[in-house]
Amino acid sequence: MNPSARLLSVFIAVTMLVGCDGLGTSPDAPVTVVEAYLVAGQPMPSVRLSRTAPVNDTYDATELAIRDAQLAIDELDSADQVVESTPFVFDESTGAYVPSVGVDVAPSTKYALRATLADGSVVSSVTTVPGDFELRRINTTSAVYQSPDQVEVDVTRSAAPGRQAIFVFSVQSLDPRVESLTPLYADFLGDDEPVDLSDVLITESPPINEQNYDVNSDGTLTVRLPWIAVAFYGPNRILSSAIDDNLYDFLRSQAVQQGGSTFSPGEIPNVISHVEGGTGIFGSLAQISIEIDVLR
Amino acid sequence: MYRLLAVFLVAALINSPAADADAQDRATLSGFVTDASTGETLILANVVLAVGEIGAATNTAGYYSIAGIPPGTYDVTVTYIGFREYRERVTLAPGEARRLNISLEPEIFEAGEVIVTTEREEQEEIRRIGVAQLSTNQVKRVPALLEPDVFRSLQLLPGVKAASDYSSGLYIRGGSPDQTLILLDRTTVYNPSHFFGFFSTFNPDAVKDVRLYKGGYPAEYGGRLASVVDIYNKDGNRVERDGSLSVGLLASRAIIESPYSRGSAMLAVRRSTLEPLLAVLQNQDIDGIPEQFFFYDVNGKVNLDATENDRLSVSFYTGKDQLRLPFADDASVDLKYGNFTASANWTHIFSDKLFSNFTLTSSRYFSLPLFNIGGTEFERDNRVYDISAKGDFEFLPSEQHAIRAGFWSGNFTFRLQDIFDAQPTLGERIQSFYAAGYLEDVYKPTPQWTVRAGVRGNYFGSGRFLRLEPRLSIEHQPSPAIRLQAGYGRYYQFVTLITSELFSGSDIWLTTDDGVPPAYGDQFVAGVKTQPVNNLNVDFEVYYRSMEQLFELDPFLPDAAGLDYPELFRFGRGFAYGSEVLIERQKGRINGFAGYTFGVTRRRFPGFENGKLYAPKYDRRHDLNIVANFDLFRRWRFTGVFAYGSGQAYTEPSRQFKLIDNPLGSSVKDAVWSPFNEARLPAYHRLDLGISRVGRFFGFADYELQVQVLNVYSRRNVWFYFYDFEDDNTIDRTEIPQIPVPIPNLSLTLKF
Repeated sequence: MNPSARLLSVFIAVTMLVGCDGLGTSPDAPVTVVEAYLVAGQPMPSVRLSRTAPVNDTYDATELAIRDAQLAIDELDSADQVVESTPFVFDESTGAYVPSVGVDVAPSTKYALRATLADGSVVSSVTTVPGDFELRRINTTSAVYQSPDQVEVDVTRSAAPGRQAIFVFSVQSLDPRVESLTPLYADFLGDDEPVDLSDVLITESPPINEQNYDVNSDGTLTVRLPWIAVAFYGPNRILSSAIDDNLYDFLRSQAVQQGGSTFSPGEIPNVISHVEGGTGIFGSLAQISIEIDVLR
Repeated sequence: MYRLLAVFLVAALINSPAADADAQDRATLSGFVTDASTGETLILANVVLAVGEIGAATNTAGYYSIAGIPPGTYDVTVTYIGFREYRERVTLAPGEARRLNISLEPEIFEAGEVIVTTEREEQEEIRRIGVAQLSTNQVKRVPALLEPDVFRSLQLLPGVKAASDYSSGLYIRGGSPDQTLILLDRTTVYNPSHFFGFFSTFNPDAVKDVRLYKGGYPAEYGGRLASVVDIYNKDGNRVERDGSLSVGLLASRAIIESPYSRGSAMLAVRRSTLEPLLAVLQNQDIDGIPEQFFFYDVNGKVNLDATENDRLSVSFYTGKDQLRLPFADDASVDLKYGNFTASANWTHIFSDKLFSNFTLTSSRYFSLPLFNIGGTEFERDNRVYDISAKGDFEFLPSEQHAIRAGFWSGNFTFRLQDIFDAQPTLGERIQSFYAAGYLEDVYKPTPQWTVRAGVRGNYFGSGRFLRLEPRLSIEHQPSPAIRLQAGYGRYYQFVTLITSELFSGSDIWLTTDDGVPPAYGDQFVAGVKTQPVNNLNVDFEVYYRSMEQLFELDPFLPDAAGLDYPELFRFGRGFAYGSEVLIERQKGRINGFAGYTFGVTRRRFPGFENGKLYAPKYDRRHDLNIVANFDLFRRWRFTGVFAYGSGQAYTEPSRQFKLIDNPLGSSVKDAVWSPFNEARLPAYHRLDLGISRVGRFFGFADYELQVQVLNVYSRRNVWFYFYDFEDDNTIDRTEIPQIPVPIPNLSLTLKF
């Protein structure tokens, strides 16, 4: 063996020993899923507890529901001390936990969810309900689809400590019919009969920062309805929701799972859930609604 | 480290043999090395004095200078791959400064001809650690998808990975594409892609030289963590007017070169020719066919050989892609993106020992997408402007020292405006002054040892960051056939790129600023380069790179309105290590190379996936590329390329759940639970073959007809898996393939 070959052999042998990958594999164990949305000013909602399903299986929230957990939602004060605790019981008819007592959700208030499972494991999460806000003005209650005169509303601002308010806008058709679909959504749903309208009955925007909107001299925000959100001609309800951090993080990360963003194709990050000991969402929002008529 | 370098540099200057009494008697040999057939200067040609092992390589201007030569008679030997060796006997008098311009004759292969080559012919500069050079002939010979491409050819080199068959992005030694500085005629190119990333902007007809610094790059370059691709366009034929026309399936190209009384000029044009195909597809009512799609690029250069010591040139590049695509009823996208670069260059030889080069550069990148969906418009205005001045000096005080110094200063402006539904939603504009200076000494205490020590200082105005980057490399040549090399460098990066492997047409560059410090990294490289027999190089390199303070756009950010600039980013770190083997036969009827890469790269971003280390998608443990050229008959040439890569990282969902009480919409929120990027795709492999025939075309032109087939044996490599949530609450996995079937390519080139 000549000196070149001998030297190369040594180098190659040494460096092939270098590679040692520190990645482990993740267990396939089921993970507890929480689903609950607190809406300011409305009664305490039901809470779903279930388990993740294997990816090659079917997911059925009722079938996979956890029925034997001890669950409560506590209202907390500024020092995180419990002000009031609301116990929940499992309701077979809905497959969810419902509050044992009637309590309304207060705006700008912190709530903690705690569920103790039969095996002793604990799932918990905390949310701060966004500040309530209200509608001050609407420029019109009917508008021609895609006309330059868009629907504009003035709303008061929702308090969000430490950050600007973040909104999600939803448009709910009050008379959903196939023949009322706007061209864009008619094309999305295709020609296959029967047309399944369920996914477009309420369209929703991605999270939108408050800073996108004009701030008026009286401190209100002027919000315009983009036509892209309208799936049906006719009567529609517009819902404007100020969302908490948990919902914001869940929505933005769940959207990334569906594609887009800067991840390479095939890279799927997990959702950001803020649920200790599990996943899912324990979120909150403040909401207003108005009704308009979209004309052809 | 900095102190050590300073001591080294100062000591090198003080102890320079130029100060010796006999230095006055030493002679100098300098000049330009050119291609005799075209007058093009040759970059990195080897000039050696046969006695005393003294030599030099031509620089990027094609100029060499050998100082400190004892008076006497020498055989000067000049070599360059693809050219006949040049020899001339010169006698140098004491203190003489001899200008010796040399023209090399191209090596034209004839049947039955025996080509004589020198023993252990090596291109010194190319044999430096971390350096690779690519000939444009090789670029044109490699079977290509629709169009020959510089970057896709670079992807075949060890240490360079491709993300997919559809991407020309360069992933070099574990770095993402933005970690590689792309220079065209010394000007930064910010989006080197056509066809949304399918292939690169560089027209192989116009390109003279492509040099890749994979790592441990020298102090004259900076601003990127990983590597440099330095591309020079042709000067234009200085001997006679010539031109060529190439007709291909995707695009056609034309180039004309001409001498004039004081220099030369070159103009190269390329444009896509897809319109007829698009028209046919549109007439058949096929969905997803663009109403309009084209791209073009134009390269031009004018040279003025003003005096024996002054050469001036002006060059430009402009390119644009334009797409108009309706993708549903009442939904369409219009996109324009492209680059413009221009540079004015002045090469001045102050003396036989002092060479200089000054360049003014201008680079502009724009991306202007406009979406109209259901009557709602989304418009983005994304632009980068970079204007700079740079100067480089080479000073040769003695045969032992070559001192290089220079500066690069300019103004970088980035502007990004979003308009949604006629309302401005984002307006970022950052203008930053930047400046860099470097000093490097190449010290050769003996012919067997070479030490390169340098330091580069960078200032970036946006955030007011001043950073120093030490660089050091050592080479020992115990025998003519063996080079032992090691190097270290610190590198800073002040910009980051928002891009997608799927689509490069809307790339956005962002910069450092207050609260967004520059990324930095250290590179350690070592290697052995050998030539066990003549015309066979066997090289081996290992590397380790750290990446600190990586800043990139938060991938989960749905809306940037109202956020402070640092809130747009996430900050993390990473590392990469690996080893590379290159076996190369550069000349002969059968030539080519085989390159093997072992590579590992990891990233970690606090708060992302519990702060765990993860493998980015382009992490691939093993890569093997074999490129073989067979010139077996006089008019026929064969080329084969085989590529093998172990599986890339991807995310295999293990569990799923749904949120069914969504208070914001009627759609169920589907989600998967997955260990991030811990699975591996099946191994990748592909064979491409090409054959070409050359000859005379009806007596008025030379022709080359190329027939190529990609993916000869129909390997269905997986690009990625797409997971779709079905109505029956199951998840369907769809395999998205890379090029799944054999793809033919046909082109005809006429040279006038």
